[in-house]
Amino acid sequence: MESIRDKTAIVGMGCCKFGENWDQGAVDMIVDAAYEAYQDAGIEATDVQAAWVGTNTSGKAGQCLAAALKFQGIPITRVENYCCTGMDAFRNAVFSVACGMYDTVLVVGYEKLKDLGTGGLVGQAGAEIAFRPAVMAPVGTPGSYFGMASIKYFQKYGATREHLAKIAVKNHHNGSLTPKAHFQKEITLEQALNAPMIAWPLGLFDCCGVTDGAAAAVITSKALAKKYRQDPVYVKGLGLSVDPIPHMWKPGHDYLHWPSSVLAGKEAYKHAGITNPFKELSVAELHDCFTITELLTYEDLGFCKPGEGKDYVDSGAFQKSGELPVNTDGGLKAFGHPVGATGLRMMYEIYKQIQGKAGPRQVKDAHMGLAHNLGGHPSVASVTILGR
Amino acid sequence: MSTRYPIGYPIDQDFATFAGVRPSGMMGGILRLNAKTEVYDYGIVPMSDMEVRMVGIASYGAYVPILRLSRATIAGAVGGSPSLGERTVANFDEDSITMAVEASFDCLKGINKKEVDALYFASTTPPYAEKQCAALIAAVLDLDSSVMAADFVGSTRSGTIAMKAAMDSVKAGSARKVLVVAADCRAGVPGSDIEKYSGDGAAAVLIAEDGAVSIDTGFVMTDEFTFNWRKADDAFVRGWEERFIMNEGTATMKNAAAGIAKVSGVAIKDVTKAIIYGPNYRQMVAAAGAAGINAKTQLQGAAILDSIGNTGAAQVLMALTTVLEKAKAGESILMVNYGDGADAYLLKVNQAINPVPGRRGLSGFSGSKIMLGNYHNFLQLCNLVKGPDEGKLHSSLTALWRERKSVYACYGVKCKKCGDTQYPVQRVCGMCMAKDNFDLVCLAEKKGRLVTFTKEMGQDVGYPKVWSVVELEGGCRYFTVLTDVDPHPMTAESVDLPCEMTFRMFREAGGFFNYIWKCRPQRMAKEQDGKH
Repeated sequence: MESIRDKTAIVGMGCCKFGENWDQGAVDMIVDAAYEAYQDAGIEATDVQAAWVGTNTSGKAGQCLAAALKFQGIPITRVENYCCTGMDAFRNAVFSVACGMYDTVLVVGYEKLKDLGTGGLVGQAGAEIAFRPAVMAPVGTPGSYFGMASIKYFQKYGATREHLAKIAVKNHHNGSLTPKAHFQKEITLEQALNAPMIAWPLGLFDCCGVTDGAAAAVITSKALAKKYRQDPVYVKGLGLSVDPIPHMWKPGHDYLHWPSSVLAGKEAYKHAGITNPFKELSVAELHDCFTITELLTYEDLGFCKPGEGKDYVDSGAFQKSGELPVNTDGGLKAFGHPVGATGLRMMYEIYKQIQGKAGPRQVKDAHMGLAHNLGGHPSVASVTILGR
Repeated sequence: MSTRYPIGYPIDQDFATFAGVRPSGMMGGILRLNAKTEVYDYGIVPMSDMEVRMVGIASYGAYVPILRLSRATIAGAVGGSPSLGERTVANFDEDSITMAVEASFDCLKGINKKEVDALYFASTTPPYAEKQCAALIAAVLDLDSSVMAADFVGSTRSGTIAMKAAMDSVKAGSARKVLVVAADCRAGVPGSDIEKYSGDGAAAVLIAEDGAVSIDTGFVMTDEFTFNWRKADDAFVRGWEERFIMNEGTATMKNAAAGIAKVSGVAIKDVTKAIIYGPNYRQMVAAAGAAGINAKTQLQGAAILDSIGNTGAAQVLMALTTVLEKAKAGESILMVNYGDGADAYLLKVNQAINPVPGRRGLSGFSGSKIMLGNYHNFLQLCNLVKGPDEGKLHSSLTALWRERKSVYACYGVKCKKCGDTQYPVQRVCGMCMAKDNFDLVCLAEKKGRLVTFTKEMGQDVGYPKVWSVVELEGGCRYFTVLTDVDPHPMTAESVDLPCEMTFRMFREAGGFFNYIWKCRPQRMAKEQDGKH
């Protein structure tokens, strides 16, 4: 197997304002994100040779992107892989360039959730049968999967709701520095701890919002990257792992880790040549759909040992000023989670950090960054490593 | 004296025909009448002249929901006299099918299911007007497809009518064992006595040739008298004036009692124990008195009205199971039921029905309860207060049919290669990837322990939802919404809580009820604390 490292580069990215975009349809958000990416890359829409689009529930087939951007017959593929949808669309677009078939491709991730008339993610008949084939039974809710993990982690390692609340406070602080975030307000530890319960022991501020958004990237080969710009951001590693059994049904699962995160991380580190992620990474965007998810991911991706995540939270290691800043843009906590857009939105932050363009959130000498998604029940995880 | 017919026995045959009251239902082989025993003596065929095949009860089971509403709470909300006692309330995911499943499993403990040749389901509240409930129950019980299944509906007497049909089947030799299960969820107009004095529950008896308790004699009468009624699309059971019902309706039970005394030659005062249908305590005691039953020394089952309520088609069978729990050899039991006529049965306890591990009976279920905090909770559970409409998803009937072994009979698989057990039925092992190398494992009666859970908040009935992972005996993980649980006191300490499987309704959409298996905390015979 060859490494994917340094074969491709991102030369342009775009991200629309995330939020309850009542006045924007999916097309508006896609146009905002894609045209920002074109401009950033210095290309025209007609320069795009092929495209990938990621959406979980807001569109079908490649045509949802063609219809938005009016591509005139170029190949477009829709990708869907739960919460890894956007990142996996990116991954497949990278492959098309790495193999030499295309020079310049576009990847767009988006989700339009606020047209559905509900405050939560809407269940789908298709999703229901995904892992209990044809058995008509509840699949649970995102809150249920991560609430169930929380009490196991608390019991095993003596963590408390306060550790989770510190993660929420950190991410909301970072979000307050991010103009495109859905939520741009700081919160206090007391607010987080006293908020209404959503899925005990997860309170309101342990959960991310339901949000509209879109993000886009222009990818080209390493050979061509510098023709577009002087500071391209290279793809260093990719990892994806899909579970055979959702964890609720998996014999012996301990709820203290997510195997797919561990495996996706290992694959991506191998490509990127990373052996000590806590030291070698400058910045990371982790899937904080719930605060407990971010906490478990510190351990799953080897930032610290199992059970140590709570101590690193206490020491501030993952704050903007810490050894390895995590979710510098506020993460899903501040951006919400328009499923198909999230992975690309995370990469947008890493891309800006590596280019030194992250403004008040800028991490010193950011040269290598990681983005991680965890999706399903959980059932799938993806990791993308970008660097100079 | 009534204008319809004289109260009391003897019944004149001409009169009986005229009045629509005809002694029929002879136990002991009505299908094998021989020529020399032509109907005589008011249409009654003596037992002695018949080809006798013994029939009786080999096992019993019962079920009551865990939820209770005190009648004082009802009175507090809607006024009226603060009556004593409480009624059972089916949880939001229970109905007469799921309760019948519970009582059936209880009854079939220790029984070889292959010997059950028929299943008769009795209820005034079958969830479907068209679609046989008994077939669904048989699928959940994993009975053989050769089973004869039938629904007996439309009358509070459906339970004993089904029992009579079961007896006839066994006597005729067409079935070895017949499971008769009655369950009801009767609803009264809010604030009415029917609401207050009704309850939800189920009972099952296994009718067999070699029953420990023999049913020596039966006496059946059919009578057109509108006592309680409910149109197919009505939510509530209705009733006419109580005094009219007592004087002219339920009084028919005295004729059935007199009839069976005549047929059997056993005087009512000589039976050890007696059960009689009663819409409420007062009417039960009045009917017992009229039938010659001593309310103090003979009458059984009145306590059910106090602590459970009138469970309609299930009532007398539930009372019977409480008698059978303590029955001693040599006792005789009179059972009289009412609804569109009356019937009476005389049972003889030849030997006590042996206790079977796991069979709980009514006493095993009635000790555990969760009190509803207020009347509004009750209205929600009765679907009388609509919560927010969650996305209603239609179930694929094709998929349900295809997966019926897992969905209804609760089969998972145990991998022959790595030994892990997984639910539902798989093709490829999720742990070791062995293909088509499994043994089927039925999980329906497995016990388990809570691995982890969360409480998802929400406004509708059924919230907070206790999403849970339960590890069943043998290592199988089962993901479920824990039902019949008071979520509020649950903490991390609740991990390891003993749980058990229970068949419940998952959702209704498009007029179709989608049932699945859930888990609940194990029902213990001792009192549980909690509120809903």
